[in-house]
Amino acid sequence: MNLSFIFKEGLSGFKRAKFPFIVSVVTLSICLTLIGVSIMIGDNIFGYFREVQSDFDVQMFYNPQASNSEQHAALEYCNTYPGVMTTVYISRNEAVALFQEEFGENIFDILKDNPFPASVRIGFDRYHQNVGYISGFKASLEQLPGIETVTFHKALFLKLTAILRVLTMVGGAFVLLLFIASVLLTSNTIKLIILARFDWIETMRLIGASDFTIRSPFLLEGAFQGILGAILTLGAVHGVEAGIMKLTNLDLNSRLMQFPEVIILLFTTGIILGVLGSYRAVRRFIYMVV
Amino acid sequence: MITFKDVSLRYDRGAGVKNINFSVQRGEFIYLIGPSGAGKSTLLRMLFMDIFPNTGSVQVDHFDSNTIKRRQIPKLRQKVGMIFQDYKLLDDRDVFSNVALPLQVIGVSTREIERRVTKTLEEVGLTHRRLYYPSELSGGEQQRVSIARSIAKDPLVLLADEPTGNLDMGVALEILNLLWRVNAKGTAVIMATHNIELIKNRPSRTFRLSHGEFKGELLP
Ligand SMILES: Nc1ncnc2c1ncn2[C@@H]1O[C@H](COP(=O)(O)OP(=O)(O)OP(=O)(O)O)[C@@H](O)[C@H]1O
Ligand SMILES: [Mg+2]
Repeated sequence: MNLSFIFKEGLSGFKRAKFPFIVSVVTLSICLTLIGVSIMIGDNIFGYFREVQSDFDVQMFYNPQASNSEQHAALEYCNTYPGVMTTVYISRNEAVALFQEEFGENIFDILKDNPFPASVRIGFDRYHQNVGYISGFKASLEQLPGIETVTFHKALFLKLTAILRVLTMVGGAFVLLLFIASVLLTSNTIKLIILARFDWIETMRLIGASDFTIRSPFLLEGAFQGILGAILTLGAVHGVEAGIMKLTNLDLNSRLMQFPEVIILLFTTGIILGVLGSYRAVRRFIYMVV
Repeated sequence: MITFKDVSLRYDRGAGVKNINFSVQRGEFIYLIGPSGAGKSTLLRMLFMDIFPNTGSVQVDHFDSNTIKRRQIPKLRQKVGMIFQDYKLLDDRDVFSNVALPLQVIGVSTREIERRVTKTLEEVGLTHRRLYYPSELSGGEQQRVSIARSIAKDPLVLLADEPTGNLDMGVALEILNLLWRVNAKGTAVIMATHNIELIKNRPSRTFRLSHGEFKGELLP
């Protein structure tokens, strides 16, 4: 194979068309930023609704006479139940505080004794958030000793599930559209590169190069552009974060680029965009050259 | 080795060639003459399978215009060299790399490329220019590079479309002599030209074309 040749031609391609190359990298970087920002916003909205929903997962109330070991065993049961993600213990005193927070009144102004039992709020991970599964869990909890009642607001839960599903679909469709738009946009700028290398393509066909050999350097160049676009985006995000911190004197506690997943995703998306954009441009162009 | 059988080709806007029949054997040297628009380039492009006849068939070695697949065309072009009036060299690389290109594309080893390019440059008399860029060469020298590139793979046939069109008589004759030397090593040559004066220096089998029709052949 002539891989080293393809590699060399791909990496030296930008010398022949510097301006279109830079335009492509900047375009890719803008697309990456847009995609990234949309995913971030979408994820936050999703997270918010999910948080609201987890309040409506399951809450179990202890019997006031429940012994320590009974309480402990019930909590342990929840913690080891498959699909349970969070368990939050709410003591009787905490329940009083929560009541005050929610209704603005101190319960002891109304009643002499604390009427609230201790309870545990239980949240499920996204793979187990279906009504049937949670209802089964609720029924099994009610059998345990020391448990007074178990609540599960099925109707609300279902409504929120529906909202989340719509959100996921709309968000996914939006990001997909953005992705397709990015491919079209980059493939248009990459066309400029191919135009600038018309003579190269013509010569390659003249000497009997296969379509694969002619195409591959452009795809490689696309990948290369994707990597540069990702680096540019990384730099821009760093700059913006540093600017925010300086201006507001705020310490951003979660900097986007601290997460290796984010960086890997950024580079992967950049490379995929660059390669797809090149592929589209090359495919439509190469046949036109004679 | 090369056969045109009842070949006709019409371009979208008309013209083209009609009813062409001839064949060429291994190692022959053929001139293709005729006024502008006669169809010389059209015939060469069909041999290169750049365009295809509407009727009839063009055969080159074991390739047939009616059955060849798109992915086989590169294989054909590795056996058929083609040079033009405007050389078509890549100006971003030196003479050596231009000549090496067809070998790099098929994955010949670096050492073998070095050996073959050196030998080919010697044959066309450009050893002293191997590190020059095309823009630093005269027209005659650029055409030599183009010839070197097309013969580096030892093609069966070299197609030359107006190879001396941009050169004055002295240089044109040098190029013609070079093509004859290439031919002497066993490569068939088919050269399209207007320049009757030039080819009188090296008479050979000559096909006459006019208005897309074959007007007979002249023997030396
Ligand atoms: N791509 C094309 N599209 C339409 N018509 C074409 C095309 N190429 C050539 N022709 C027409 O076909 C005829 C033959 O053209 P061709 O280029 O083969 O002539 P030629 O003998 O090479 O001429 P010249 O000596 O000027 O190079 C001409 O009438 C020309 O106008
Ligand atoms: Mg012509």
